[in-house]
Amino acid sequence: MLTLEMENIVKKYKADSSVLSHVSATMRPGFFVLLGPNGAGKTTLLRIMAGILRPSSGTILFNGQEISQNYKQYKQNIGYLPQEFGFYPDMTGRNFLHYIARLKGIPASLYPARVEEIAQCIGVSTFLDRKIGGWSVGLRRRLGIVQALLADPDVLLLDEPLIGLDPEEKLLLENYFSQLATERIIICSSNILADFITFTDGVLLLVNGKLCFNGRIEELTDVMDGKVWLAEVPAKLGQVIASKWLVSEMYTVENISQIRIVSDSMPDIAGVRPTQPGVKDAYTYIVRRNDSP
Amino acid sequence: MQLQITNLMKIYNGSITALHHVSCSMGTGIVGLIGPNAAGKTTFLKILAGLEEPTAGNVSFDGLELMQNKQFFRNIIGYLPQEFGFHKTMTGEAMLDYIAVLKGIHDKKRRQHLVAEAMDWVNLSDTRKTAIGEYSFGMKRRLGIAQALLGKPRILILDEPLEGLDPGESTRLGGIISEIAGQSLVIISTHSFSNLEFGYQRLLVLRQGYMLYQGSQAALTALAEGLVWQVEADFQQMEQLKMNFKVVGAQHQDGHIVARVLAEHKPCGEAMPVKARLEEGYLVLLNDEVQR
Repeated sequence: MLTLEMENIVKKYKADSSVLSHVSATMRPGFFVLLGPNGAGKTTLLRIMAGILRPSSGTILFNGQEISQNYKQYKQNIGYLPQEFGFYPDMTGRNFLHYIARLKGIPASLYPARVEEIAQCIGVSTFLDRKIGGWSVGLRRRLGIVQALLADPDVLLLDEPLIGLDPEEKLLLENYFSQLATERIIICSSNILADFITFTDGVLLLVNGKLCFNGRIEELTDVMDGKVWLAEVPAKLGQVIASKWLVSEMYTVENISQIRIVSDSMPDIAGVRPTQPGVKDAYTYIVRRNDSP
Repeated sequence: MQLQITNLMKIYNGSITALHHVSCSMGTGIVGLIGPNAAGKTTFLKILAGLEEPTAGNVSFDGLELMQNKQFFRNIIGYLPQEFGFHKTMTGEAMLDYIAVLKGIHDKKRRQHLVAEAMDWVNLSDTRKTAIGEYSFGMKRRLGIAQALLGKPRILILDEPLEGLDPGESTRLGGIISEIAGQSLVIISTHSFSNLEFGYQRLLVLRQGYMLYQGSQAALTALAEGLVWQVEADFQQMEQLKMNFKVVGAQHQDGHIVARVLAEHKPCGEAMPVKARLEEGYLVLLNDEVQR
């Protein structure tokens, strides 16, 4: 049974502050979003899970075995895409992928077809013979995703894979990940709640290095009853409210703002009324609660 | 002030047309340049910023032509590219100082003042003496905005400035940009919309090098009026919906999903008509026909 476990992961760079505090979770096949604001520690956690960064304490176990016992073997089973990925601009997409395939130890008889296959699924095959320097940012990001998939890994760790992608590209990728996740552990980090929202198997919410929530996305709202309020006000007042209160969503059209406010007690705003909590409200609330160290 | 763009064309390597006869004009305020990736947005912005030469057409500001007045344009434009590199060991302050020198601000005192001002605007004053290598992603983005803001440019060109920022950072940065737009022309490119939106003075939609639309936010939004429906569904119904209609947005609420769907007629029994949003008008424009 495919499992990836994090046991009490701690990461400190300086003696008095932790980038990650006691993060523990057990991952099984499926698609998971590692969600949290920028600076929460998502990249650090992914790098530790990928075996390229050592934790200050704690262990990562792959199928029950500590990865620290054999990093090289572990890394053969994972695909990792960092947030900032570099390419040689003068290489064509195809040459780059062939190069990566060789680095990953894929036999020469297999990788050309494999490159073509994955490139087709991700929608970049028509560009493969152009130099990467001429590719748009969105296409380059997709190229990064292709390289992570080349060795058909059991575990896929993708650091903010959707940044820079337009809605069509995001949809294409989301559908593709959805298919892949049935037999693999896929963890994608994101700082935007809307990403992957309709098919994720679970959400790990990281705020300030702490794992504040680990479960199905619908469960996020379990603690939010009586904490979410709706107000409809003129746009200018909307701005004022947004600066004074915790707002999870504000939509302004024709000078009227519809605002969702998250607060333990009823805000003193004319016409405000309680409303059913949504996932975004819960996310906003939990992040704010854990924001200061 | 008036920025006039006439018949702009850009062809790469003799055969790849990135821009086809693009024309538009803009004044003070925020102009949104929207389009899918590879639409030509970055090419367009680079030409405006004076970093690329158009194959044909011209750009003029209050009558002054770009190609013949490059230095003038360089002095009045602040530009933030999509990917901005920094030296990891430089401090934020040192980096801005360096860029200020490149912008031709030779007087040291004036530079110090402008650098401090810019860092203050983006809330990086506390970390000005920290090495950029230790900056978070959001901080680096703010530093990029700060360099574009040096000396309060009359034209601010930002290529996908909010991409990669979390909602809190987006809101803060959005506030800064809105403030500047009071006295300058701010051109922002993006390929998607967030819930906290700017009051765009004008919207330009680009796709595959063609300008599909230029006009007001209201008119673009109106394209979707009468075509947007709100549906409450469970996972299975969602899959069904996604197959037959364009699902624009989905939110989890109370154990089920609330989705916004684009359709000419009521997509299913429980659907409720709702007021159109800008994002939906944009989608209607892009998708020539809406599914029945």
